Amino acid sequence: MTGKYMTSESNLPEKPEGEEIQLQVSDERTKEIFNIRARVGRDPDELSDPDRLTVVKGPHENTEEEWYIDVLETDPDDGIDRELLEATMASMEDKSTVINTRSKEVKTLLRYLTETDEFESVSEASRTIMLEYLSDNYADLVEEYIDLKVQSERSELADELYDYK
Amino acid sequence: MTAGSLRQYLQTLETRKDLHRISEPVSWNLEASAVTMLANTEDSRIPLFEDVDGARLVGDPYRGSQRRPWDRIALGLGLPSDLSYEEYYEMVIERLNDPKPPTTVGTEDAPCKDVVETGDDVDLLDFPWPYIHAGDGGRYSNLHTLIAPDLDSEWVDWSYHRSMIHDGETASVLLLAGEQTPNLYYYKYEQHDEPMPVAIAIGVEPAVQYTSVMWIPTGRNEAEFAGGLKGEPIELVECETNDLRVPATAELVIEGEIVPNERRDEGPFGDYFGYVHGPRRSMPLLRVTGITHQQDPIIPFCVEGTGVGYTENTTSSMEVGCVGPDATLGLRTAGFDVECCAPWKSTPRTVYTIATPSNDDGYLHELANFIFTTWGMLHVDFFIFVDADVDPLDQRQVLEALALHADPDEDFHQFGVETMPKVPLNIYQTPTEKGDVQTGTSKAKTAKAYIDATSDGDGTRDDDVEIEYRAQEILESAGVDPEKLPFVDPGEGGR
Repeated sequence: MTGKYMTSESNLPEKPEGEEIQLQVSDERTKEIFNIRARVGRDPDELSDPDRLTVVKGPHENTEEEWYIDVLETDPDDGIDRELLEATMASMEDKSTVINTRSKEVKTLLRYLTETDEFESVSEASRTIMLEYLSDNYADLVEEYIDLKVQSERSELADELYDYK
Repeated sequence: MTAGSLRQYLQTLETRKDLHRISEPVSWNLEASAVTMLANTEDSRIPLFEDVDGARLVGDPYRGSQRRPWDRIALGLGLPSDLSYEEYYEMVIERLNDPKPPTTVGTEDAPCKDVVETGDDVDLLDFPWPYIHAGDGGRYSNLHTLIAPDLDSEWVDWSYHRSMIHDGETASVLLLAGEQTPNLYYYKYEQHDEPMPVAIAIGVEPAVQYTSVMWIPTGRNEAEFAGGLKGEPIELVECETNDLRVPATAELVIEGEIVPNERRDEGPFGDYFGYVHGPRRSMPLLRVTGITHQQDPIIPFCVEGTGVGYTENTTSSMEVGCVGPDATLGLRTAGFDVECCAPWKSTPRTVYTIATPSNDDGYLHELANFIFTTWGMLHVDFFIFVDADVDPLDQRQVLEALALHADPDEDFHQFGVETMPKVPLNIYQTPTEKGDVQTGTSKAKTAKAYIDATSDGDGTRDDDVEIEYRAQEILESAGVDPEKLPFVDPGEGGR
């Protein structure tokens, strides 16, 4: 085993053992703090390439437990390709905003929701439901998109003000 | 002569044989702080670590002695070394009363621009930030000046908020709402979803370091008061990646922005009360955009927690030597008749003593009300009012005043029970009562209190003073060094 990591019990999910998790750890030698994708457990035999992981516990973090960790990825980041997202935004500027999808089931269900006044139209229903789904399941992507959008609107406004001046 | 840079101050210490150069390699990982802690405990020379991963650290450079906490601070201001606390306070107040606006110099005249790193070259981990206490959540920069602008005015606040280094580009900053810079972040920038541009100037000249911990009123620039303390304008230089100006003689400057709605772990940290006390907090994230520094920079740090009891460190000494005179001036400026406002030396920041000639109940209440409602009272829990002839820095005298004059029935007053903000670094709240992610303050509120330990005219010490003076004369004639005796003013009865 090489290297040693440290984390707080408060960083671990409720039942972390054996599961693939994202975890904030610090490198015990450099004290650098970073996020990794990993599997953790109390038994090193349950892991394929275990490093030592010290878990500090208690309200003042003054109790230590020795755990083990399989580091799967050291820089998982949020996986968002910012450049690609920016390029996609740019390419959508002058394109149609219509989304085509062929599905009798989806259309039937959406139509039902409009008939029952849940939504005013099929397009409103599909827009709302998709955005909700994206927010729940691709939160990082949505957040990054919002950041880029705000940034782009701010620079457009700045350009307009500059031109006006 | 007032020291114009940290280096100049350290040279002055060396001239006085008060600097301990340590040329052997020392680790930033607990070793530098352990040596500094020992120096603090032994009231020894200031340790300068010359080889910490090829860089330099200095441990608690402004630490004074428990008897005279202000001595090295006075040295940084070029004040005489034998001042009594009254003389020292009045000289600092005199300088603060004469603020001087800063000047701006070009990059070529700014030592902090010897090396400029921006973009991909930025790496916080190139520097030996100390890991100070076993159990800390990370490495810290904890003796610096945080520079942040107001969103709506020209005001730029200088303050002092420790930062925990996370990686090469980010750190978390301890911002507790109720203080000036945190209020700018939580109630202005974050409300507008805007990043707050900041610079952290490390290893600044003494006058800048001192004003960073003072209670300068909101809207007033610390830079001007630093100029007053120094006796000449502070030289500032523009940052590389934002519009802020920073002290040109700083050893190192971290430029960046504290981003809205992002939090990172901060702590645990061995705090000024002398305990590592959890839980870890969620604090705003600093994203670094540039680093500039002098060649071979010297990074100062403080071993927090060693400033309680009989030992001093930089922050405990600055509380007495910087915040005390500044608070005294603040109260006088507000129109109160105050002889001196000074912290409790053995646990600074929690208790302050105010010596005042007034013992009028209404007047003291008004004074307390002014303090609790106009100052950022996160750290200070209570005040003790004593007579003007009581030395607030002499805890024995203060305790005597408490024992003799504070009537438990009439003289203990609480303010805003369970409504006042409280710093979540205290040790009397449970972990669950702490840690409001939104503003960094405690979830549970507390009370503030003051104790009226003034004499209410219930006795006079005139006879005692006369007796004490005569006793000192006898001791002097018996060969006791008069310098070691407390000052006694015999008044008109003395010879």
